[in-house]
Amino acid sequence: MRLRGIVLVVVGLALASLVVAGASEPRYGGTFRCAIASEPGTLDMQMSTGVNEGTIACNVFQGLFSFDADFAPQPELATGLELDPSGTVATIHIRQGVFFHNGQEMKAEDVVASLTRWGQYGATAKALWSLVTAVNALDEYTVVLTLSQPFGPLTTYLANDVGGPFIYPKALVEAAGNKPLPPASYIGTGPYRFVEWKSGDYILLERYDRFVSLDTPSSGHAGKKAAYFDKLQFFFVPDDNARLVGIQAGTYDYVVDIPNDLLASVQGDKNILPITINHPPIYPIALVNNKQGICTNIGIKQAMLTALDMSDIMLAGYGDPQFWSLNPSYFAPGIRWYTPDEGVGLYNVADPAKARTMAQAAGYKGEPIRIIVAGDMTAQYNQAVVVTSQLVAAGFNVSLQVYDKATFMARRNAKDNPEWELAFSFYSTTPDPSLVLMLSPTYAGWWDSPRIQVLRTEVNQLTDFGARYAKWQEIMDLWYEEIPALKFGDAFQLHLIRSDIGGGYGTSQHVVMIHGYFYNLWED
Amino acid sequence: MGPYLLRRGAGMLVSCVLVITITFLLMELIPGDPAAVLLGPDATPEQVDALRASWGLDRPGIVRYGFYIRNILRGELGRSVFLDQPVLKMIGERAETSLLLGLLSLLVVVGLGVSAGITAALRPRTWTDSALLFVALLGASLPSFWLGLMLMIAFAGRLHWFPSSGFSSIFGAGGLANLRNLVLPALSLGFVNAALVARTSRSSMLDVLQAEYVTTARAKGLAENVVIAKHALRNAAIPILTVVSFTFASLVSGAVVTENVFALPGVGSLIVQSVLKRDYPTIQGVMLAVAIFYVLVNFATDMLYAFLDPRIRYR
Amino acid sequence: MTLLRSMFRRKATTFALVLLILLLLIAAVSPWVVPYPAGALELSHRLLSPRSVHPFGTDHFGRDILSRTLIGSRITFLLGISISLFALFFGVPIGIVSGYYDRVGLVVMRLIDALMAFPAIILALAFMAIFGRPGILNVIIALGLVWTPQMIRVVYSSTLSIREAGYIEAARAIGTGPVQILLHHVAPNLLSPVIVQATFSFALSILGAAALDFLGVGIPPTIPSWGTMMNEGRMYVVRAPWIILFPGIFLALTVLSFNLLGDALRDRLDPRLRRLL
Repeated sequence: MRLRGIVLVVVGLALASLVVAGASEPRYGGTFRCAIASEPGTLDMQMSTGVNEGTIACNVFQGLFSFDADFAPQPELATGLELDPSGTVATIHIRQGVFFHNGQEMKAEDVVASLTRWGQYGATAKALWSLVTAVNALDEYTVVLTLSQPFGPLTTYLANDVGGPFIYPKALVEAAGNKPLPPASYIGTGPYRFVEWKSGDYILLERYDRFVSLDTPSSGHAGKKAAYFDKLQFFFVPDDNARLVGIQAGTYDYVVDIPNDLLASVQGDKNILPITINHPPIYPIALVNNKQGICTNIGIKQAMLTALDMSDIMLAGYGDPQFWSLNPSYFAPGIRWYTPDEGVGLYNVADPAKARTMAQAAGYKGEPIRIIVAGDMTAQYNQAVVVTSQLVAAGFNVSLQVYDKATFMARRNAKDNPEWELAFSFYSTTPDPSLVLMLSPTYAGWWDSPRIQVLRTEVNQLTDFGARYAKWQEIMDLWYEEIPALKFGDAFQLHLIRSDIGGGYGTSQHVVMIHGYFYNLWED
Repeated sequence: MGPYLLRRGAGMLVSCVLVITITFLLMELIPGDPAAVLLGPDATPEQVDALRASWGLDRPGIVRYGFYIRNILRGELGRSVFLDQPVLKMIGERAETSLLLGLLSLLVVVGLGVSAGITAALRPRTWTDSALLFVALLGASLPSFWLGLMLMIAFAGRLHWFPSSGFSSIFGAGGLANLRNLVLPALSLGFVNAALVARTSRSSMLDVLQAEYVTTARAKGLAENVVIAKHALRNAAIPILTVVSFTFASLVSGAVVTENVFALPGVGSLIVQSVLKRDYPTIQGVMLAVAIFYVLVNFATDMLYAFLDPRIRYR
Repeated sequence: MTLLRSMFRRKATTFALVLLILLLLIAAVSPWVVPYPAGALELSHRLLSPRSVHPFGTDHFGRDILSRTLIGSRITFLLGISISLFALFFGVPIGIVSGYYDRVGLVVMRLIDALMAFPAIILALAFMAIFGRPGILNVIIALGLVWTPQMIRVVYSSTLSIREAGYIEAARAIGTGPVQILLHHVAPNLLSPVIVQATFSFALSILGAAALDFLGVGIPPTIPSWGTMMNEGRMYVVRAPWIILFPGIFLALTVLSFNLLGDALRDRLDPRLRRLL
């Protein structure tokens, strides 16, 4: 009897071990090679909002908080944040025993210096920092942030990984000031450290052995971060085909921004898995010049919107319908700020005849509609071509002006005399409505009507999500009354990963976020 | 030889000064805004203004010219606005790629061009001759970037014989095997430029083969390959050398687009990116470096020329 | 041997002329004979492979490639002719004066040498960047400026050798003024090298314009041109190679016909020019 029992157990264990062996176990080693679409400007993420930059920098630097798979802020370098009853004093406790890549321990003074510099020059700091009256180190591991009034999205701002407050060593960040950190100063606390930036070729990161990971389960950018790969190497490959052919040949393990139309080339290739970045999507939007010119006439804007067939526009920009969806609301469904039922009767009407009548009724007399777009932003350029054709069909006099990116930016941002009516661009999902650029009166488009002035301040004064959501709904309703910009839909970019990379990228194990991230992955 | 050397040397220095001035003037007139591109599409205009002011992109022109000359004499070609690295250092990092691409392309040009030309010259009036001439002409008519893309798809994409893009130093990991990355680019660039060399080789060889000393050598009973190698080739070499050095300029030009197609981290792609990003110091530095390099190569070719053909020294 | 040689020449020249006339014809009448307007978007017909309805396939906007290729020939010829005329208009006078007056020649040739030290594409890129706003005129000026030095050089060398000719000395001896000499004696003898150089610079100009379009800094992409088509189709070179294939073939054929023509002209007009060009 006993013998049979023992045999059963042994057989059971043997079978179990076979099953376990089939699943992929993490192992250390190897170099992860990623191809990105352009050479970054700087890896100083406090100053930059670029997605390419974020893909690399998230391995090197950390912030006080970071976003999990639901985009909720979770503690990262901070262990917690307490607000006093008035909601104006935030006490932030920082982790102990965390070391920078130069061997120094991270202390409160580093956090204070980093926050201060970010507050003054950081890309996404303005709304928060205009309310900050003081930031001090209480002791070696505690920082106190004092505000003049409560700020609802405080931890969200601190968790922002694109343009957000990353923590750098005090001496380096103070030396940098308003200039981006130079490569020699890329000292962070993350699982990988910066090794080399070979101009025109690649950026190389190497595992940092003294990295102390959190032990909470990993979710998005939050929780446990294990650096299984010895090195991460990011190559700059501007040509889409070169990236595609590169991953097919095995030169790269991960490539970003493959044109959706090329998915057909890799379907059936067992070595390659497509990763659709739909959580969250990007938003192709044409900014409208609300400051001067004929687009100050709301009737004309409504007429232009009525002429547009959003399906064709999205088809031209992003290819096969599996890569986009129509959505008039700013945020995509699935994001908690999504507002349904927007723009009824205005979005995707596709009626050029009606548009023509509306324009005439609004007093349109053939003034030129100048559309500017950057030729190297392919999806935007394609959309501009289609929009031009649709507006022309509705009787508008359209002038499509294509520029290189630098000139396009200069023209778009020329706040004293912007010589355009529509400027085509795209935007990533921001973690908070207050970060939506179109709300800012100084951002291109210059939406500054009396009603938005009120609403945008109010949305930040509230602290309860329900109340803020209701306020955001009001803003969205106002968007479709005043039409500060034209939103075309939600678009999903396509990345590719080789199937021999373990870690479940693209599954619930390693959820797709705004940009790629490669800790917690290993070579199978 | 002495006076010739001095004259050519002085001329070279004058060219250098002119090149420097032209570079400065050209770049002074470029509009556009590097600060906006650097900070990304979601940046605010205030940040853009702050960055522009702190980089001194708004100081007067004469002051900048003065600084420019002084820096060059010090060996500094400026500092990239974006990467905050010395331009000379960036050129240095990328020089290996461009030089190797240039050399390999030159090998293709000379290899294909000279051998095709001489083969055609040795078989005049035959179908081989006509066919080679036609292929040469066709090659010169193809856009090199189109040929490059076709080659990439065929040999890298379908057959997987060569990598499709990128390049790592031969002094680093991979060693000489990394040269595989340059095969397709060198072929596409070289093939297109080989035509002129082929035709010049052919006509030069033809002229020489009809010369009296060749007929004499043949009459003396020397073996044909001795006639060709010892007498004909050496004299045919000079016009070929002229055309090859002229082709060099075309190669440098064509390399810019080839580097773009194959994502090679060379000097050509550096300048394209810099122009698109309005990185003034880098554009200036690279243009200057490339032009000075060309002036020096020309000077070296002139010296080689004078060495090979003594008659030139007395011109 | 000469007979066989001229036979080849005649075949090649005939081929070139026929091709050229065909292309010119296409450029002239294409807007009226093509099956679809060049800019007709039809998004439900994106990326179709060649078939009876679309013999060259469609692109990512559903536009017919055959129509766009044929219409694209117009801008090619417009640019080629304009750039060559630009180079002629500025290059010939400067070249003549430099060749005739030694001191002018010294200065000008130094300048030309310095300018030619910059690779053509880089110079063109720099000019396009300076001009800022994209446009056909800017491409013409930029590439014209790039190819003018070459023309100046050819005219300069030719003028130098013409100067040595006996009849120039004779004309000077009898007191003919320099303008008369330049116009009546020097200029007519420049015809051969100038025409040949113009033919070659036409070929180089359209390749250069295509390269600029390909890099994204040429004429506005709203105008159908072969270079732009190849740039737009770059992304689809695996999925839809016909977008790049046909404009590339047409560009190669056009350049080929001009190269053949230039060759034939040079050999017929003055074989000695082979050393020069």
